[in-house]
Amino acid sequence: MSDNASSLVTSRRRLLQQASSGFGGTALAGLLAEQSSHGSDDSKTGGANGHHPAKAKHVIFCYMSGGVSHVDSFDPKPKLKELDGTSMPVSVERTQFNNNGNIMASPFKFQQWGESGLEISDIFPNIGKQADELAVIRSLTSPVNEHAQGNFLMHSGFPFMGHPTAGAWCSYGLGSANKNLPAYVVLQSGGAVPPHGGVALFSNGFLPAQHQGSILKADKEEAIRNIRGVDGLQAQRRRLELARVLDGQFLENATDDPQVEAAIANFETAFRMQTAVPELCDISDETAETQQLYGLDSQDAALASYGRQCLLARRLLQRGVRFIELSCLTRGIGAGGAANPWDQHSALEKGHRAMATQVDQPIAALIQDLKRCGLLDETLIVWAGEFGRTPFSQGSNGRDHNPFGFSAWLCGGGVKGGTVHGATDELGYHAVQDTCQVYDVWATALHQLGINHEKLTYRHGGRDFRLTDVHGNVLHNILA
Amino acid sequence: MHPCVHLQVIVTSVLALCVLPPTAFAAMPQETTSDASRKEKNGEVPNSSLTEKQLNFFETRIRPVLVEHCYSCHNSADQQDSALALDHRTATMRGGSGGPIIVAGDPAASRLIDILKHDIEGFEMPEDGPKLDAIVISDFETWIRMGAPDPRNIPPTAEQLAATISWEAQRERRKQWWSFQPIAEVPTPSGKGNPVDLFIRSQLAEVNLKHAPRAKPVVLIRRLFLTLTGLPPTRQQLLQWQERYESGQSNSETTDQLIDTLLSSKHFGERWTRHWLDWIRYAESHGSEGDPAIENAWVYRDYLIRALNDDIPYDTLVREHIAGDLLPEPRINTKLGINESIIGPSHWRMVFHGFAPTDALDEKVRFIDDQINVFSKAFLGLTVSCARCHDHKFDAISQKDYYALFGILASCRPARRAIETSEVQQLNVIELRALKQQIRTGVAEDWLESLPTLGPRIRDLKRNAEQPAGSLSHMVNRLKIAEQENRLEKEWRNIFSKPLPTQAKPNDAGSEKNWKFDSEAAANNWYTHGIGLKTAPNPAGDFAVLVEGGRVLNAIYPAGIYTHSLSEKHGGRLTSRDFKVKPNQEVWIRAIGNAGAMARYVVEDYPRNGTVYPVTTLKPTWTWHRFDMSYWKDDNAHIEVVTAKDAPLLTRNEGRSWFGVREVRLMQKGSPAPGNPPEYLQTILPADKKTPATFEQVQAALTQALRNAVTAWSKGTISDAQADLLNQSIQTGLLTNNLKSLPKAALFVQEYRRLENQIKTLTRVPGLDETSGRTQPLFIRGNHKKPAELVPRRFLEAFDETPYATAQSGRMELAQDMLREENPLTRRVIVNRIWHHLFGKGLSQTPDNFGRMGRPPTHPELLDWLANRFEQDHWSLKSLIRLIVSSETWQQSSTPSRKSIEIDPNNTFLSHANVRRIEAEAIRDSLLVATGQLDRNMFGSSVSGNTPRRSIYVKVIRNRLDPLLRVFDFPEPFTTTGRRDETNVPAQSLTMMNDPQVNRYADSLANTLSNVQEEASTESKITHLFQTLFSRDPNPREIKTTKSFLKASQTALTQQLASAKELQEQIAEIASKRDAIISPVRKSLIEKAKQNQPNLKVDLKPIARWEFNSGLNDTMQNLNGKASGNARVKDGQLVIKPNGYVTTEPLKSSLTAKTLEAWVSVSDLNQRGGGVITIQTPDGIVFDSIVFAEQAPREWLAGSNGFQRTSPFSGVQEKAAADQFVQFAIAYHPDGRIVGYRNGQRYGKPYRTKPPVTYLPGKAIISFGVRHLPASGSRLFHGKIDRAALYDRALSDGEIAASYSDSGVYVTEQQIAESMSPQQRSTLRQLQESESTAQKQLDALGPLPDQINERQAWLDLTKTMLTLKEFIYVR
Repeated sequence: MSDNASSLVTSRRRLLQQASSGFGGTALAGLLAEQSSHGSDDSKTGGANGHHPAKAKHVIFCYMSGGVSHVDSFDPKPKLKELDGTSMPVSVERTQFNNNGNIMASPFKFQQWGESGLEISDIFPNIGKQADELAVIRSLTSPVNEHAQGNFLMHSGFPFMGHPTAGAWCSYGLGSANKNLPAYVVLQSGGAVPPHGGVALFSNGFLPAQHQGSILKADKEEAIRNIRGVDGLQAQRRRLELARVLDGQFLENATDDPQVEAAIANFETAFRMQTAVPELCDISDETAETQQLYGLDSQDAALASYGRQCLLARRLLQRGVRFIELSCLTRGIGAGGAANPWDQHSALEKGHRAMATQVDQPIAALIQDLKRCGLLDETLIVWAGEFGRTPFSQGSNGRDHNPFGFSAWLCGGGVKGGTVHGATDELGYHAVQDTCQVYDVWATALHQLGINHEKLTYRHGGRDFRLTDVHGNVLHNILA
Repeated sequence: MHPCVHLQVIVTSVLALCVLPPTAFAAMPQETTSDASRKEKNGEVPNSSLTEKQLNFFETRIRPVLVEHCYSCHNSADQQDSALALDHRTATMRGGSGGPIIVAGDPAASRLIDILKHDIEGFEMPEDGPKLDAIVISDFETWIRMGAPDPRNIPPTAEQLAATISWEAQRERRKQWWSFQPIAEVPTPSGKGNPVDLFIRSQLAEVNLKHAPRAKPVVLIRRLFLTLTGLPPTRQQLLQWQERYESGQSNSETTDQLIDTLLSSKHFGERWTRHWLDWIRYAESHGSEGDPAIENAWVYRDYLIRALNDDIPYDTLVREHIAGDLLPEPRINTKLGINESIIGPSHWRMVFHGFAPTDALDEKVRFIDDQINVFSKAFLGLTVSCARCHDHKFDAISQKDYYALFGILASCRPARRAIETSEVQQLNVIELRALKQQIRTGVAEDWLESLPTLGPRIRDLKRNAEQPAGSLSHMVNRLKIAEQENRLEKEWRNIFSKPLPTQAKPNDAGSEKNWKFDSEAAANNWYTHGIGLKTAPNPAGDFAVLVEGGRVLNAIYPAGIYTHSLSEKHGGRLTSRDFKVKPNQEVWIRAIGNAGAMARYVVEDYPRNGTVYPVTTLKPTWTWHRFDMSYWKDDNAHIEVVTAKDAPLLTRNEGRSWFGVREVRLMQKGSPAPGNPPEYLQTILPADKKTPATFEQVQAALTQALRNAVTAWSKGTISDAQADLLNQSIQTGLLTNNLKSLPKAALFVQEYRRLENQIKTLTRVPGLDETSGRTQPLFIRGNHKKPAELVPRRFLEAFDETPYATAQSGRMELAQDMLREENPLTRRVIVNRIWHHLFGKGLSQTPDNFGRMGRPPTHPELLDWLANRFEQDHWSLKSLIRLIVSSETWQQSSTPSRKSIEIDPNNTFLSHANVRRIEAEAIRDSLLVATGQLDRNMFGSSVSGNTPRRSIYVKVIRNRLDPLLRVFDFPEPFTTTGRRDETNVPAQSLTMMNDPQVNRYADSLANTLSNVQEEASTESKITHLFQTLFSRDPNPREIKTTKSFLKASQTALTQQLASAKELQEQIAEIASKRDAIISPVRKSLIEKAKQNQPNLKVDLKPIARWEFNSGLNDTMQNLNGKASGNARVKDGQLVIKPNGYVTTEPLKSSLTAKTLEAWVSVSDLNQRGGGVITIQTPDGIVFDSIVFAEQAPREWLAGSNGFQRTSPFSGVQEKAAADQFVQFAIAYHPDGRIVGYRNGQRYGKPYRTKPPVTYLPGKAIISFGVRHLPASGSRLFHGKIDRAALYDRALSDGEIAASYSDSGVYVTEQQIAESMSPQQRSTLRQLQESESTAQKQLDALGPLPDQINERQAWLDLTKTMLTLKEFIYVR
């Protein structure tokens, strides 16, 4: 091939870099390249080309599937104690089980924590100690009242499958800083499964597939599907060599088709992943002190297992992964099953205590650990479920879904700790002050990542879509 | 809330725009004549200073942009935005509050240009819209450079402005967009050859490009096979066609023959159906929590396969998709006896359904939105659902259009439809009806004859426990007792003193609406569907004939609506009209039914169940079912009673299911419950109303009543009360219901049963029910809580805004509008879709969007010519495909010329073929073809991806899509996917490298190669492999490379094996060294312990232990057993004979690491494959088991599902267990190590596999005597078990030994460690370290066979070959 021809091929290749390979590079370069090429109907039309300086580089999404009761966790309501056992003084909206009882006081005590005096219930003693790092949002609302739609909404801004989820948008906006690991990882352990809605909750939707969440099983040897080489590295290396030669000849026959070329490069990424992932999951190089901090030595298997996820989350972000979602393990109490462990339609006290025990120490450890290795500033932790729970009982000792007002919190990544945003009414039933939606949470998260949420768009089916749909306000008052 | 969109940027390739002839397809709409005439009225006198060229430029390039994008905000009537008006010259030049935005003659100094280019933050115009095309912005620059010539001298009046920016004016302008234009009558270009080539060539010529040469036959064969059938050629097919190409006839003739062969292949329909399924987001479940099945969705898939194979015209299929259930002349498939057309509407039902939403209307709006979205994209290439909240932002689609279509779909309900032809459905119906009359007559005659002897039977009538108070037997017994107590008359008066049921009004206090189905009028406004239901209720006295057994009649019924009047196989669905739920409203349904028949109320057509969507299963006795609807106040609801297979979504698999309904009432909550009064009583009162004095008089009255009733029944004049009397009489045996005692009816009954037996259980598919057409209110900003003006049902106003004049939904009319001549979209869209699937890129590259946000066609004339040709060819898809693939354009080589790379890198002009990755299904199917495993059977219910069926038959479950297909971009079934992604992610490579399924294919390929007899040489085997995988011969270089790989592989494997053996020996040596240190320590500890505690019993703390001393109980009281077949406890042992086994209660906690242990003797050492003790899921799908002699005779094995965790221990052959008990145990370590033990010692060698399965609480049981459930064949073990235990950890060697010796002493590893000297400990640590190093090295070598032979090298090769890109690409 003459020089001239080869330079032609190179320019064509550059033009068609959309056939991107692996996880490599940040999207910035990719976006610029793509803006010069012709966008088709499904294409990037906006992009995160450094809208403003970023405060954070990573997001950890502690998803509390099933719906944590806000009035039992982060939104104290003394009024409930006062009115315990009486009927609701305001009209009651439709509930999913329509088995509404009287007002039920929280079985847990609230106390003030830290210098900020943030009130948190005593089922979170360890997170309580980190209160001065937390910004609690007490006025979240959701338009949907069932798990799957709620989960989709919290993850993607739309209450059904098919849309890219927050992790996918972050991956699309920022790419991965590690060419051997995906930018968006969902951790599971101890038999945890995706929340209701299934793996579509980690979907890239209409974004290119490299942005989809990769499920990593923190306690399995085959941590990622098919990551375990069946035949040992020697054999694989031998095969890779042959593949290189034969693929090379095919590439020649296909006139250096850039897509084929990218696929070949990808094969090598996959090969490297086989080493990178086990190395990531091997925590034997963590000190015993660290392992204990996360509760890995706990007698409570669920706590230890969730602790492993938290520790791996730190290891992942140290390796440049952008967005990490953690998965709660089932305790099967009060209708809370594997997919929705916080869903205590009955036996709320027992169930919430068990679930809080599972996540409290590990998440607090994660905050502490990130702080001490200087990573908390660049890592935004988002803690939320799909809705809260009713201030009145369901049956005798449970609570039904309450999407009209509930709590979530943010931590690290430039968030002002020890703050509260918004409020629910005195019963904790409806958000009444600074009401917000999940769009505001993601707008804020993207903002901290240096992305203007209104400009991170992708054209699909004739429209430009966003993570925040047509909504979203950055919650500036909880930012440092 | 509905997504509307803020559009930020539109990226435009200058190159692509250059392709468009600027006149016909300019990016902006052209001015219309009406615009021109309006201008004159506006008083815009052409400025004499403007040249015609300037004027023309302004009118064609500038004014339309200002009108479309600026006027609505920046006008002189309403100057709110920066006080800037752009609707006349003076204001335009003056600018806004921030000063002028145009400096005439100097575009660089004009802020307008920066604003349009989005260079000024916060002033990105047009607001909320995409950035204007680069070409438009450059027009503005040109215009300013010209001096901004502008003829608009005076501001428009408010009316003029309103007219200009009104929706109608906007719509008319937007209708100028290319896709809304009528299809042009493009003449076929002159010249020889395929017209497709003539069009393509003429555009190639314009840019000085030429077609690439035709691809080589070998390339064409693979390309044609994969494109037309989705399967690569088998090696035989490849060789056969290669031979034909070499046979002497012209290549093009051979290619044409190949095309014809493939078009008529049955696999053609399978391939193209999959494309179609992408267009309509085919799914077999509804998603969300619970992910319920869309029962029989696959019937629709098969319908498409048949239709495409039979080349059913596309217009027919579109019509069927929209209204196939309504066609007066449906398409009948006589061979299958089905109505094909009725299957078409199934796609409407493949929507996403939420789980028990509390806002039912919101859910309904969402699923209809889904229907509109998919239907409009799939068939019209329009994004109509963008107009849900407001008029479309870019296209000529109004918000009213959206609600016009919404009304059509909201007039239909989710339903199920039987697909059989009416002949099949009506089979024997006339005969059965006639026989029923004869049976009635015969039974009546027999009964009348029996009446004289009735008296004693009345006296003997026992009260049946099932007969409630007030029943006939109850009444008779009351009177009997009263007679004995001499108070008969008083009791009689007690019974008859209350107003009798017919004398009283129905208990309708509080009833707001009462339907009593005893007349045709009462059933007015109710909808009936299904062969079992007639339009009018059945009169009193109807009955059902039992189809087996000694009894004849199921029952005799009062007037009502019944599905099983002729056969229980005749299903039905009875629904009411919609009504608005009032405060505190209840519905009461008086119904009877069986086998999964259900009653419910349905809110806003939501078809799933849930806590607030209750459903009741009907019982075979008359029952009032109450439903409290107060929760749903103000929502719309209807009532629904269905047989098992006829529920819209909640189907149950019961072929014989039936129901009857007498009454339905809407009542106020708290009203007294309607009763079930004893209606028969009134028939017994003698005409003279005299009170009987003796029981004989009671008998006489009853006999007379029966005589009257039977006579009336026979004549067809029976009342409800008499029917009740007869029914109670046959149920209590007062009247015989015995076939043998009814001689006059017996023959007819037998004939009836014979004919009923021939009736087929019908296949029901998802579909829609027509109810009555309703007019939909528009929802303000898409908010369903804000209904506004009513919008009549109609088509898109851009084509025809006449409301549909129909009392039905309007689907028939919609189907016609889809296909009418004035609608150019349907034809253009399908022609483009076909082109897309043939080339990998459409003529318009946005096949689902022909609107303003889509991309205009690169070859508009060709597109229109093809659309016309398609219609002339009777909408034949095969003709269209044949025409295109026969072209030189399609058959070109994929090698681009250098010039093409230079000026057309995207290959827009088609100067060569595109290299394409094949789709997920084709990849999976190629694996099956290459390994000779493909099961070519067609049709039927969907299967798992683990089967060798084609991928089109693999299940599409929304929440569990097939992982192999998904990884290669199988789309989530969520919206129309006209163009799939072709992404490239490491998961794809990992799949091809490591997926067990793919590795099995590699293995079978290696086997094939070892079995190639006639081609013994390595070269020919390599050739064979290349032909199989890549449909071509290898070149010499490839042969050389491959050959040396094989050689190197064998050498490397041999070396690896040697190293592995060395390492294993090393490890064994370390183990024995370790043992040498540990054993004496343990021994001395044991000795010491024995001295201290001579009577200590070992307690290894199993979680369950079975001693079989006094039964099957677990002595830990967890997992008690239950015997099946021939298994029993005898003399303290569990004795299992062939066919016997034991299962236990489920585990209460989860279990991962574990040990199974049993003391077992084998009754016959030659038995094979039975399990001694097994832990398994209750369905037996996942299991781990101590198995005897499954893979090799007389060898113990750790059995597991699909041998997933099984490798041979290769222990000694069992000889002793026939005469004595041996202890056998298997320890499953958390890291995947599996260690077998026999009599306290390791059995064979341990191995490492996947980590152990976690068995979940309640989801696992233990069994004895069966490898896994279901118990059958060689899974069953026979022998004796003395005792057994289950541990929740992997026991160590020491623990197993202790358990075996039962020595009473067991020392822990901890104790041993503590008793060692520091030096021993340090030595031990070193040994452990070297062991772990050696183990790591061993692991890196991977699993190796015992011996290295040629086959292993071939396997190495096939594994590599499957990872090659050529396998998943087509040139």
